[in-house]
Amino acid sequence: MSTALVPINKLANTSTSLPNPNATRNRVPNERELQTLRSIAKIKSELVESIDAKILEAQSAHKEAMARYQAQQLVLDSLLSEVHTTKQLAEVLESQKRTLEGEMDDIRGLMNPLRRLPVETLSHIFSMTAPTVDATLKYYRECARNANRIMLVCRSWRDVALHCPALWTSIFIDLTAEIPITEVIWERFVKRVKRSPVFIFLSMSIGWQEGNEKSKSIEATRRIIGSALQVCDLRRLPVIQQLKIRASETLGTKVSLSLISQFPVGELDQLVVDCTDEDPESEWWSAFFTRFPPFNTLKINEGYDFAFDNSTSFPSIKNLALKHCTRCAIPDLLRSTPNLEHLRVGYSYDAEDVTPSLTEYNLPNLKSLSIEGAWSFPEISLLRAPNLTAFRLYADEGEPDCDYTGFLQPCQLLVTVEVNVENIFIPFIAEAAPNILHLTLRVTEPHLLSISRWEENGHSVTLPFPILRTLTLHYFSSDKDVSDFQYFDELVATRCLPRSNAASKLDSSLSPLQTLTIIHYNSDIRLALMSSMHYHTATACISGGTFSVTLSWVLGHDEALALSSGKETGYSQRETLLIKSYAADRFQWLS
Amino acid sequence: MPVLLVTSDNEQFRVEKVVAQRSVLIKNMLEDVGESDQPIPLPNVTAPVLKKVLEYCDHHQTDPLPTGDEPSADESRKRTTDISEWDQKFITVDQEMLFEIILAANYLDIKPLLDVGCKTVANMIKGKSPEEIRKLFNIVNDFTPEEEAQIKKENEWAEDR
Repeated sequence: MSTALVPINKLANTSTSLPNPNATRNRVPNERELQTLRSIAKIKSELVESIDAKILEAQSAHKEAMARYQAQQLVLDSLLSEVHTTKQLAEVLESQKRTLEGEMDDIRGLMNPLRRLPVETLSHIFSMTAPTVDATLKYYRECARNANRIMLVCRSWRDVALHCPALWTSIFIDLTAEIPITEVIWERFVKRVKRSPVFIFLSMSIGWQEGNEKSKSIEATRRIIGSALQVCDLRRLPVIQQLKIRASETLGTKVSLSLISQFPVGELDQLVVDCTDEDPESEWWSAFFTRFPPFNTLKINEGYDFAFDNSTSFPSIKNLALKHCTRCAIPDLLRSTPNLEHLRVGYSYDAEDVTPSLTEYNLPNLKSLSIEGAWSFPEISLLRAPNLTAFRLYADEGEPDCDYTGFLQPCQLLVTVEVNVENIFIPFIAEAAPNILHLTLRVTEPHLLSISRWEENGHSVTLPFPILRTLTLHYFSSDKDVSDFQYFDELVATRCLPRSNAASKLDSSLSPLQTLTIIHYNSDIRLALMSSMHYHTATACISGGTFSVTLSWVLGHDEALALSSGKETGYSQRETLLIKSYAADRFQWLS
Repeated sequence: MPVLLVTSDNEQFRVEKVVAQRSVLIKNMLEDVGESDQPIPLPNVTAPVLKKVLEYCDHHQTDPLPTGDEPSADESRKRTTDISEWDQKFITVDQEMLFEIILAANYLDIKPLLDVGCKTVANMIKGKSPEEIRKLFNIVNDFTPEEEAQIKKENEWAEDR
């Protein structure tokens, strides 16, 4: 065996080799040396014989090892072949599996009830994928993207999508784009929407990306927009739900809007105009709007001098929203819209420059009025709106310099009031509008007395807000030390705790408030609130984030949540209707 | 008086008339046949699906019936994603059952249930790419690459530029 085979120099008897001093010289050895040499030769000869035997043995072992190697090589070759074969088999099986899975997917796809949905149901689903309507550019972009995604799923979806007008009814048209593009887009739009109500945003100022103002000469801009407006013939659309027009900053409002030559002739619900710095005169505005069919809603943004002349009336306008209409003479405007039901005056700084007429103006149909900013509507005191149901006044930049609540008297129908300004005289509101159900106020602690204890104010009315259901307080501390929440506790005891609660001071003619919401801007107030006497006895406590908490001492969590957020939850039908009705009243125009 | 409903797989469901009448189809059938204890066959609905549908009808039995007046485009768009909490829990089912419910609601003419189902599917579609939608619903992309490129080209104006 190989272990027995060792090299010759490792053999023990090699040490018997004797020195051969004449091996490298030609000197004749003497007799003694010859004897020694013969002896050495004999030993060497014997060693050679021994090595021969070893060689034979080694050769034999080599042969045997080689045979075994070859045998193992055959096994290895066989194994290698087996490895290859099994690998190939696995690959073939995997491929078959993939094929089968693909076929199964196809079968599943075929079996999927989605395929059995009637076309109209699939179309209904598509229409529900559209984003919530608003007038922003983002909305129009989302609409377009959404429709495109659906179109790209498969042929059948594309066919259904093409015949689903709801997917296409909102369109943004960049009137400064190249005319052939505008023409293709417009034609496709008109073809796809059929007779559905549409939402159109005609922009003379921007492309998809806001602020991406194009730098063209005034004349070139006028020519391009004029041509685009010829292409986008609004007369071809029988029902326009919302038409938004953004004037060109290059051309100005008057020149931009004067380029419109084809006005809608069908139905028009909402008209939105984004103006630029230069505003036309009132006669021009009146003449411009009379070219549209009667519409319900008018929203004017950045209409610096926006006005109607006194000789033209727009009886169809029910909703009017003004934003940043700084020099707008609102009373004159309102005399031209006698049937107004909802009015929203957005922030309009420096409105003091306006010189309105000083006679009262009456809006008998006005239901909701929303004012943002302390200086936005200084002529409000001349307004008479006896049928107002919702009033919102919000100013975060200081105290109004005019009486914003004086006009309220008498408003028996007023049920929702949100007054978030400093130093509002609460008793006056209580007297002017005794039937308020939902009240929002900005208060400091002493203000709370006006809600909880009437007598101390020396007023004739003994019970403020007798049918109040929800109260929201924008709570500011009048003192650095807010640890004493005695007024708050008094409010809770007199207005919130049911009579079954031993601490209740609820008057026998009142019902406890359903919810009390505190909105605060100071963490100390939150801490003081939490350590107040009645906080932890509430039956519902809903945190609306860091700065808001809604409490109730009569409702459960879900009911209180619904009332505080206006959202539907798991209510009975009657409760749901009540909540919906409340939410609709409160948020329809004000939000 | 209870009504007897028979599914396509021959199971029988006895339900209160007020519940069954959430289906306009059944309501009309009952009005046509008058007072009768004859079973009403529903050949397009299986028992598991009808069980779910009846659960919905039972919960909503006191809701006002749809008037048939179509809401305005503005109104209907605003409501697209609104699904009440109970309805959301109810419709949290596997995809096959979801579509079966939609088909059943369509057949039985229960518009509020059809809307809940359609809104749920719409919410599944929203914000997804075409490929993700295909994967979600086992849909085969049967466009040729040329067709796909053409559609993309037609609509590229809507993408960011």
